Amino acid sequence: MTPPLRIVVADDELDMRDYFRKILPRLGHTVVAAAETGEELIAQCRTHRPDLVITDIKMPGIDGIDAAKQIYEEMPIPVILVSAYSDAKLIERAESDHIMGYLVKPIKQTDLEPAIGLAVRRFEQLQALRREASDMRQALEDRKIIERAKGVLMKELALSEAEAFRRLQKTASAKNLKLIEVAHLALTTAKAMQTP
Amino acid sequence: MPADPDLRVLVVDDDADTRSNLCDILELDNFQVETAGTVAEVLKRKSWDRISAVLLDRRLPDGSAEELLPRLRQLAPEAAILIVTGYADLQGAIAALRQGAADYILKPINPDALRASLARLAERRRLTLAKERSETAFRTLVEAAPCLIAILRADHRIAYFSPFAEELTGYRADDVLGKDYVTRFLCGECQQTVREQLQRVLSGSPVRGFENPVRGRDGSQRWIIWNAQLLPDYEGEPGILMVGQDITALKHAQERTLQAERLAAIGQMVAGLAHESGNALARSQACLEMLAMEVEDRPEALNLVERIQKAQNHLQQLYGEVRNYAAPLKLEREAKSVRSAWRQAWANLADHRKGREAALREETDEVDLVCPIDSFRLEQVFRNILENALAACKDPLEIRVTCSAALLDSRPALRIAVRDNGPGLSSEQRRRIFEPFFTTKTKGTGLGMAIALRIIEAHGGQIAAAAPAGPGAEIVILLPRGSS
Repeated sequence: MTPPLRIVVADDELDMRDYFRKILPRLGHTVVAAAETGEELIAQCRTHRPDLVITDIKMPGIDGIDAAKQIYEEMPIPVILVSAYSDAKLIERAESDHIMGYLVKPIKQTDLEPAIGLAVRRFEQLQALRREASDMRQALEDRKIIERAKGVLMKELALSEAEAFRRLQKTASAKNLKLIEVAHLALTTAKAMQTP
Repeated sequence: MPADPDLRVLVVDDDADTRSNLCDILELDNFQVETAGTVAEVLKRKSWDRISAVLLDRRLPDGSAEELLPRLRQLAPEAAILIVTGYADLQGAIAALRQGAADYILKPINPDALRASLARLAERRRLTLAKERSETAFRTLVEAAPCLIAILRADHRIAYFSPFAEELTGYRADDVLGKDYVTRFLCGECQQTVREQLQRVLSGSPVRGFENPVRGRDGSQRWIIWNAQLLPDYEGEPGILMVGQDITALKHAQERTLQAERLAAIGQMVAGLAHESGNALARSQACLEMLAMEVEDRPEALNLVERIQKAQNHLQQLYGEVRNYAAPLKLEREAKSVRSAWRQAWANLADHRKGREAALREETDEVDLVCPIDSFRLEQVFRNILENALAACKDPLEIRVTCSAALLDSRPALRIAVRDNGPGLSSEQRRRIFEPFFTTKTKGTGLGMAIALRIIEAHGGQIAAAAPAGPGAEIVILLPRGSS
């Protein structure tokens, strides 16, 4: 069961906006805004920070795909595209990583329900993966700095590798700092001392 | 003057001296000479065809030249007859001329006069032959020409009608000679214009490249492009020479091209319509669902909404198929068993088969079923074939898929025959089944098999409706083994 979502929709057709306003609450969600253009969609997303965007592609001004791109640069929100067209060119443009669905008009309630559930879940998984990847990248980065700090200590104080590492750990717990912060300090100090 | 070597002369005279005298004169001039002394001797002769002149004595012991002449003209119609006569017989000689003799020579014979006479004959004969040859040549030309050639009188009655014209119209020349050309061969609306053209010809200006249809004996129409010009004296009267060519095939080709262009334009329009239909259908669908919510508590209204929904679904499916047909086809091929495609198609038709007694049998023997295929597209092909079988056949339905190794353009291929046990296809249906919008079903766009054809052709293969021995319809697919 998909949790209740706050959704911004966009379509230049009144019939479609009305439809989303009526149908989405039935599926347990709230339509926090219904935009008519790409520009309005971006503005509404800034205001409401919704959980999901459902947008038409062809709209006056900025189209749905470009609007989705701009929104994503500011905030991570999953997007479902709804279009009467399924030309190869449109589909190709829609292949960026935050587009979580592409429904071809005409759509029915029965199309919308699984598409929303799937989009939100996939997006969560994607975000989790991203976080994990980012954490790992950070860990790798930290490790490099700690290694370099160890190297500095070994050289300056003539310590073995194990002793140097223990020294960093001790300092961290004594000063109530993270190991990486101590490593940064050590490197900064070493740099300061090198300067003639 | 040297004699024509073909000139063989028969000398008929009862007087041996005259005979030998004549022979001497003629042989000196290189004529070949034969002789006879009596009427009886003349009539006994077997071979006449090389005799080109007869020197006939007016009086013979067993008959006169007048009596022999009619007979002689029958025996040797080609031969010129010269009457040899004494002065006293001149009246008789003139009578003989009336009976068809070519000339007369007076006795005693003057060799120069004889030579001159024979030379005249030879010249006349040469001219006649030349004229005959030329006439034969022209007649052959006219009769062999793949053209409608006709000569009309000033009042448009037909005076000559060529063999090709006979062949083209189905009328024998004998049937139409003397008949009015315009009323016999032309349809109502072009009669007037053609008569005007013919009058122009009579007034001296030729007609070039005029086109009109001509009605044949069986009512069929042939398109003719014709030239016409005045013959000032055709057998004593002014005539109109018409030479026409049959351009029916060309006209039909032009019409077909035009029709094809028209169809292509309609096709583009329909494709455009289908492409743009999504938004309108979406709005209609949206409003319908909202309406259903509005009337949730009114079952009879809901029932109507449901019926509209069904119609909407059908419309949507039709547009979808048209879009599908119009969209460019891009295959994603991989080496895969064709069996998976038909099995998947059969499985997907489970809903259609509900409550039916329908079986799919496979006869694939030892054949390797792996081909470079886009299995999704091929599944569409089988779906269309199987769907048609389900729609056309009564229960118990049995569909048989038979595979065998085959050649396609002398390269290895897989032959897949799908045959049902229904009423089969008529020859017209077999011919037209792959035409877009051709359908025998009450539902459907008639695009299913057209799409199937496109998919198979995109695979470099062939698909056709076969004429199986026995009942049922059979669709045969040939798929190449190698990827191309």
